[in-house]
Amino acid sequence: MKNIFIPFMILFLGCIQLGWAQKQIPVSGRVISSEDQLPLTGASIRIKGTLRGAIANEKGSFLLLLDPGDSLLTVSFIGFETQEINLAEIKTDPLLVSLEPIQTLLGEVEILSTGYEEIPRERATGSFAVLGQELVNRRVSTNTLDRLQDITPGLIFNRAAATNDPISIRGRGTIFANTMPLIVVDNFPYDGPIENINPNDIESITVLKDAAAASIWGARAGNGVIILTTKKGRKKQPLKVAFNSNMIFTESQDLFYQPRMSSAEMIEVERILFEKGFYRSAELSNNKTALSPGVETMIALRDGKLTGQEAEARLQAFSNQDSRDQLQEYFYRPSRSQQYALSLTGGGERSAYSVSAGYDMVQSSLEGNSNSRFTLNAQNQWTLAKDRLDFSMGLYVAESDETTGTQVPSLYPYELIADEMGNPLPVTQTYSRRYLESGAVNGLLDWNFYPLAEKGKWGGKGRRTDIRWTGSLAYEILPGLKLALSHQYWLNKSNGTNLQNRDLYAVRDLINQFSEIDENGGIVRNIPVGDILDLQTGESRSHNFRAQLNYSKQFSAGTQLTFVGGYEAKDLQGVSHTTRFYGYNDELGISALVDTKNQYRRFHNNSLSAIPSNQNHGGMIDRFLSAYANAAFTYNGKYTVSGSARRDASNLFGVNANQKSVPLWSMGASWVISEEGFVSEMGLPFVRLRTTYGYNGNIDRSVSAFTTGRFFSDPFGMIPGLPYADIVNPPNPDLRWERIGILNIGLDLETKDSRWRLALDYFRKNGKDIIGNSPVPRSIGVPTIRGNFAAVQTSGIDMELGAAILRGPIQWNSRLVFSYVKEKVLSYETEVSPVNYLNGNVLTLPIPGKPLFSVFSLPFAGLDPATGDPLGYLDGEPSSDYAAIFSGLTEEDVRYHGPSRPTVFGAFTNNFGWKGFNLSVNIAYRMGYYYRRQTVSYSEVLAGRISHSDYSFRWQNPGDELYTDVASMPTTNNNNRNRLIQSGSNLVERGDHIRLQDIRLSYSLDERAGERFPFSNLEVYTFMDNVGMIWKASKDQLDPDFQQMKPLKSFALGIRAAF
Amino acid sequence: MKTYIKIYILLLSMGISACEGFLDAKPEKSLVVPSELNELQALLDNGNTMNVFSGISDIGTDDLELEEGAISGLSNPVVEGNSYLWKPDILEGFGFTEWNGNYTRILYSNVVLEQIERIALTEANQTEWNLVKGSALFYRAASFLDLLMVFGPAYQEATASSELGIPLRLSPEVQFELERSTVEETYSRIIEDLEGAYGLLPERYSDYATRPSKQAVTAMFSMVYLYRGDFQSSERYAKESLSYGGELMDFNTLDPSARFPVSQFNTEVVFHALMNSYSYIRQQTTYIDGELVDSYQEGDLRKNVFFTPAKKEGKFNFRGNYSSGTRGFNGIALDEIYLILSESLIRQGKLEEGMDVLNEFLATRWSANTFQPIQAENEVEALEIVLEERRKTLVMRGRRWADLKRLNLEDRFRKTLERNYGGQKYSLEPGSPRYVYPIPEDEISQNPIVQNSR
Repeated sequence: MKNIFIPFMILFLGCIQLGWAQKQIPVSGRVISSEDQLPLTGASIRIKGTLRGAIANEKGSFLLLLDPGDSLLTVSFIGFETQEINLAEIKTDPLLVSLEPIQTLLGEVEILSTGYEEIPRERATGSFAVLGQELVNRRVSTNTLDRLQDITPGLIFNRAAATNDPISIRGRGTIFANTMPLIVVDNFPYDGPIENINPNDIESITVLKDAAAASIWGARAGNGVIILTTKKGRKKQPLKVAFNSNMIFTESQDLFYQPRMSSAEMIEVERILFEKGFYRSAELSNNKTALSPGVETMIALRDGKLTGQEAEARLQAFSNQDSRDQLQEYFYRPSRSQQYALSLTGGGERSAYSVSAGYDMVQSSLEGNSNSRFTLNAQNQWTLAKDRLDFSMGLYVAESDETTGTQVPSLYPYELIADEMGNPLPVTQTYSRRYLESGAVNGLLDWNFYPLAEKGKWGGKGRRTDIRWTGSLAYEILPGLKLALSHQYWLNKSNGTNLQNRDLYAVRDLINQFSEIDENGGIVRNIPVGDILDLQTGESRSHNFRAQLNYSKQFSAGTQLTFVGGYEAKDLQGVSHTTRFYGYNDELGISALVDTKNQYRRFHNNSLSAIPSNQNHGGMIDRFLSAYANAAFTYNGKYTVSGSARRDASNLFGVNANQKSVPLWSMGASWVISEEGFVSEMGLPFVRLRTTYGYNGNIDRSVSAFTTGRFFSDPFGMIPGLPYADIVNPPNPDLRWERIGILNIGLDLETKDSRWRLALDYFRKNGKDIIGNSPVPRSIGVPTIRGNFAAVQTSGIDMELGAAILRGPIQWNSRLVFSYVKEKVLSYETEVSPVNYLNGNVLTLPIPGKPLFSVFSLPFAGLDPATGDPLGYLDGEPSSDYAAIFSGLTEEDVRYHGPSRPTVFGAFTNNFGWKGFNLSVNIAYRMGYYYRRQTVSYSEVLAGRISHSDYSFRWQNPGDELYTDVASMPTTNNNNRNRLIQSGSNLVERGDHIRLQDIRLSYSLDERAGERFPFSNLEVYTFMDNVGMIWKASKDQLDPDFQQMKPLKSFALGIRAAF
Repeated sequence: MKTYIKIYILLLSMGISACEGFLDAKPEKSLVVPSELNELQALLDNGNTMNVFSGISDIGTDDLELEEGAISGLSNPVVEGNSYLWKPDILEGFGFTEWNGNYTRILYSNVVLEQIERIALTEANQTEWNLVKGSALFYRAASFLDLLMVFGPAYQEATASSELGIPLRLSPEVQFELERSTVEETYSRIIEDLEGAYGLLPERYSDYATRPSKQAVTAMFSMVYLYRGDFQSSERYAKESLSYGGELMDFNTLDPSARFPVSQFNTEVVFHALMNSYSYIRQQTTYIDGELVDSYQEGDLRKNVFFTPAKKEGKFNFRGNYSSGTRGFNGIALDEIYLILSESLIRQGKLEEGMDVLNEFLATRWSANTFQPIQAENEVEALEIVLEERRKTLVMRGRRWADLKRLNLEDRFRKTLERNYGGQKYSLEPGSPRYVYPIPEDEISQNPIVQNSR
C-alpha cells in the first residue's frame, strides 16, 4: 500500500514546501448548507482570478494558502448559490461559509449513492436517476416500488408481463435469468419481499443504470440496481417530529370490463352442443362430471323429467341471468387503505438518531380479505475517538398480516349464488346435480357448494416478520484513509395458517370422497369429520458482511483521488415446511390421524387415491463471495476518470469450480466543459460530458453444466411414497454466465440559476451469452434445452428535462421524462419455426433482428362470403386450407408488426405553486408498441366454455362479411382454423397512448403562518391515481395496457405534519 | 501502481479460493447431479416417466366403436378423433405423447447408462448396481419396441432391412441429427439391450412391480420373437419367463360387482406399466365392439370382469383391468405370456402342447363348473382359437393394433376395418400405410428424418 503513495506524498509535500517558500498565509474554514448546517463535501473554494483553490472534504473543511495579494474567495457548490467572500472582512477563524441552496427543481439531488460510496454529482461518470424526498412522496401508496412509476427515466412498469418481470430498466437484457433489478436497502441487497419496506421511511431512491454506476454490484447488476436510502438523523439537529397519515379509496373491480358472450348466447351454444351429443360422455361419466344448469335442463327434458314448457321457462330464466351481477354485488367492494407514519429525528454534537413507526392497513377489494403492516425503524450514529471513529447501528422490523377469508367461486356464466332474498344458493361444482340429487350420496355430508355462505369463512391467515439489523464501524486510519466494516443480519419468518372449517365445501368434499360404505350399509369415513388445518412455516436468514477501504486524497484544488475496495460475503439460507392436520378441533386443540400411505377407493368414481398429506419441504442456500475495487481521479475540477472491477463467485449448482465466478469491470470519464473558459462565457454555469463502458452480469440458477435431477416423494405417484427423481437439465458443459456490456454517453447541462436542467443519456447494452431455450428434436428426450444461445442488443436514450418556468409568487416547474428503448436480438443459435412467432406476448423463442417481445400475425384475407370461414393466404392467394397454411408457413408469410413492449415512454409532470397551494399533474405516455386484441375462440365455445363477446358479431349469413371480420362458428372444432383466427393481422392494434396518470393537490403552511402555529410544516394533500385516458391510437374499447383488468381509479386524502 | 494492483488481485483470488467449500453448498435441497446409485435408481423409479407407454393404438382397432358425436367429447378430439377415423393427418401440428414419452424415457435410461459406468462395481453394491444398469437397458429396449409398434411397420423378413424403423438414441448427448434406423436395426438393438439386461436383473421383482426383472426381460424377448415370426425363440423365452414365478388369478375369486374387480399389482403382473392417458378408454360413449362382446360365451368370466353394461341398451363399456382403474394397463402379465407360448407352440405344429397351455390358462378365466377344455382338429383351427382368445384376453391392453398389423400379412387373417361416423364411411385396408403413425412435426423440423407416408 505504502509504496505507491510515496511518490504522491513527495509531490504533495513538495508543493507545500514551495508554498512556504513564498510566505503564504494559511486560511482554514468550513462550508456548510444554510438549510441544515450540514457540511458540503466537494464544495469548491477558489481564489478569484486564479486557478488556485481547494475542495471541501467530507467534514466540509478546507485549507487554503493565500498569496499576499489575494483578496476575494468564490465558494460554489452545485445546487447552491455561489458566494463571494472578501478576505478583508473575515471575522471568524476558522472561516465558516454558509451557502444558500438554490430553489431546487423537482427531483434534484446532489449526492449520489451507489450503496458502496457517496459521490457528488459533478464527479460521477455513470448514469444515475435519483428521486429525492419530494418525488418519493409525490405518489400516495403503501408500496415502495410504486413510487418509481412514471417519474424515473429509463424505468418502466411492465403492465402486461408476468408477475416475475414487473420492472425493466432500459429494456430487458435477459431471457430466463432473473429479470428483477437488484434492490439495495441501506447499502445491502435486500432479500425480502419489497412489500416489507415502508415508503414513508425512504429518504431517496437512486436507480443505477449503466456499467459505471452498477458494475460495483457485479453479477447481480445486469438488470440495473435500485438503491433505497432510509431516513436518518443528522448531527446538530434539534428533535424533529414528523407525522403522515392518509386514506386511499380505490374503486371496485369491474367484472364486466372484459367483454364476453351473453348468457342467452351461451344457452344457444349449449343447445347446439347438446344436440350433437357433445355432453353425452360427460353425462355418463363415472366421474359424475358436473354439467351446466342449462345442459342439465336439456337432459331432464330429454328424459321426460321436465315438460317442454318447464324446460323452456328455465332456459329463458338462465338467458336473463349473469353470474357476474351477483359476484359483483356480494363479493366485491371498493378497497380502502389507511396509512400512518410517525418519525422522530435529531442529533447532538457527536450523534444522530432517527426512530420511526408506521402502520398500514388495506381492506382489499374482496370482502373478507385484508392485510396490514407494522414497521419500526431505529437508526443511531455516533462519532467517537476524536472524530476518527464512526459507529452506526440500525434496526428495522416489519410485521405484515394477511387475512384471506374469501375466495372467488368459479361459476357457470348464468348461475346464481343467492335467491331474491339474498339467501345462499347451491351452485354446480365438481359433480353433476343428477348425482348429488340421486340417492347415491345419502348418508354422506351435504355435498352442495354454497359460495355465498362461505364468504369470509376461510381461515387463511399469514404473518410475516422481517427483521433487519445493521451495524457499521468506520475508522480513519490515516488522513483520507478509512477502514469500514459493516454487517447486516436479516431474518424473515413467515407463518401461514389455513384453518378450513368442516362446513366449507372443500372440506366436506374431501371427507365425502374418502368415505366408503361398509358391509352393513354404514358409512366409513377415512377422513374424520372435522376441520382441516394447513400450516406453512418458512424461515430465511442472511448475513452480509463487508470490509472496505476508502481512500481519498486531495492534491490541489479540484484534483482528487478517491478509492474504495473491499470484500463481501453473503450467505442466505431458507427452509420451508408444510403440514396438514385432519379432524382438527380448534376449541379443544386436537386433531386425528389419517392414513395417507395406503390408497382408498374414492366414493364417487371408485378410483384409487391416497389421502392428500400436504407435506412439503424446501430448502435453499444462496451464497456469494465478492471482491471489488472502484477508483476515481478528478483533475482540476474538470476531468474525471473512473474505473471499477469486481469478481463474484456463487454456489452455482452443477458447474465446474472455475465456472462459479465471473469478473466484471467498468471504465468511465467525464469532462466538465463549463470549467473551460470558452464555455462559461456562454452563460451555461454547468455543462458536462461523460461516458462509461463496462460489464454487468446476471445469473441464471435454473441451468447447469451437468445433468441435474430433482428429488420428489409423492403420495400420488405410481408407488405412493417411493422417492423418485426427475431430470431437470440435460448436460450442457459449455455453460457460461450472462454478461452485459454497456456503453453510456451522457450530457448534463444547466442554465443560470438552474432554470433549465437537462440530463441526456445514450446507451447501448450488448447482452452476450444470454441464456435461451432452443428447441431440439423431441427424440433428445426434452422439448427444449437451455444454454448460452442468444445475444441481445438494447440501445436507447434516457432524458430528463427540468424547468423552473415561473419563479416568484406563482411557481411553475415542469419535468419531462423521456425514454427510448430499442431491443434487438442479435443472434440466436437455433432457427425458430415461423409458427412459434405467433405465440403473442409469451416470450418463447427469440428471433434475430426482432425485439425479445414482438407481435407477429398472419395476414388476414377477410371472410369467405359463402361460409364465413376466415381466410389466410396460401401462395399469395386467399385460402381456407388451414392445414396447408400452417404446414407450409415460411418467414415471409408471417407479418411483423413491432415490439409488444413500449419503445418510447415517459411522463410530463407539471407543478404549480401559489402561496401554500401546490398542484402537480402527471401525464404519462407510452408509444411504439403493439398488442393483440382478444376475440372469440371457437375451440372454447365448442368445448362448452364461454368466450369473448365478438361471438355476437360473428358471420352468420352471406353479406355479413361486409360488416364484420369475426369468422362464423364452425360445426366442429378445427384447431388450425382457430389458430388462424387467433393470430389474424386484423386483431393487432397499436398500443400508443397518453394518459392522465395522476393529480396531486396540496396545501401547506409553515412557521410563517403565525407565531401560535405549532407546526414547522403542515400539509394537507389529495391524490388521484389512474385518472383517465387522454388519447390512444387504437379504437379498441379496452385500455391497451390493461386487457384483463380495468385500471382502477383511486383517491387519497392525507395530512403531513412536522414540528 | 501495477505492483499494487497485482498484489490486490492476488489477495482477491486468495480470498475467494480460500472459501471454496463455502460455495459448494447446494442452492436447493432437492437438487442432485445424479451420480450415486440411489440417485440413478430414483430416476428409474420415476413411474410416471418410466412406466407409462403408448396408449393411442387401441382407438384405431376393431375392438371398440364410438357413439355418434362422441369425438367432440374426447379430451384430445384432434389426435384421438383422427386416430379413430384413420385420417391421413393425425396430429394437425400437435406434438405426440407416444413419441415424446418414449424418448424421454430413453434419455433417462441413457443418463443412467452413462453414469453407472462411473460407479465402481463392488461386492457390496453389486445387487443395486446390477439392478440399475439392467433396468436402464430394459427400459431402453421397451421404449424402442413401443416406438416401433406405433411408428414402424410390421416385421417382414424380406423388407426389414430396407423399411424404416426409428432413430436409435444411445447417448444422452444433445445431438440434433440422427437418422431413422431400419426395422431390422431397431430389432437388433432391442435384442442387444435385452441381452444386456438379462444377465443383470433378478428373476422376479421383489419390491415393486414397476421394476424390471429377468421375467420381464424374457417376456419381452418372447414378444419380440413372436412379432418377428421366430416361434422357436418366442416359445423358449415364454417358457423361461413363466418359470420365474407368479401365479394366474382364478377369475372365480374376483367380485364382478366391484367397480374394479382386478386388483393392482396382482399375482399375474410381471411388469407394471400404464398407457399414456387418452380419454377414449374411459368414456361411457366408447363401446366394446358388439361382435367381440358376443364372442365371450356363457361361463366366460372375462366378459363381466372387463366390461360393464353401458347406459345405452345392449352396449358395453370397458371398465378397466390390471391397472384397477380407468387408466389402460399395457405392462406385462402372465396371461399374455401363456398366450404367446400357446401361439408359438401351435405355429410350430406342436398342436397338443399348445392347446394344453391354452386350456390351462383358460381354466382360470371360466366359471369353475362350466369350463370344458377346447379341442382343435387341426393347426389352422387351433391358431384361430388361440388368436381369438388372445384378442379376448388382451382387449384394451395396447396389443391389438400390432396384432392386426402382423396378422394382415397372412392372407387367412386379413381384415378390412370399417367405421360409420358423422354420416360418413371410413375403412382401413390390410397393409394400409395408415397403420403406421406419422412422426410429429416438432421432431422433423429439428431433425429432418423421413416422414411416414400415410
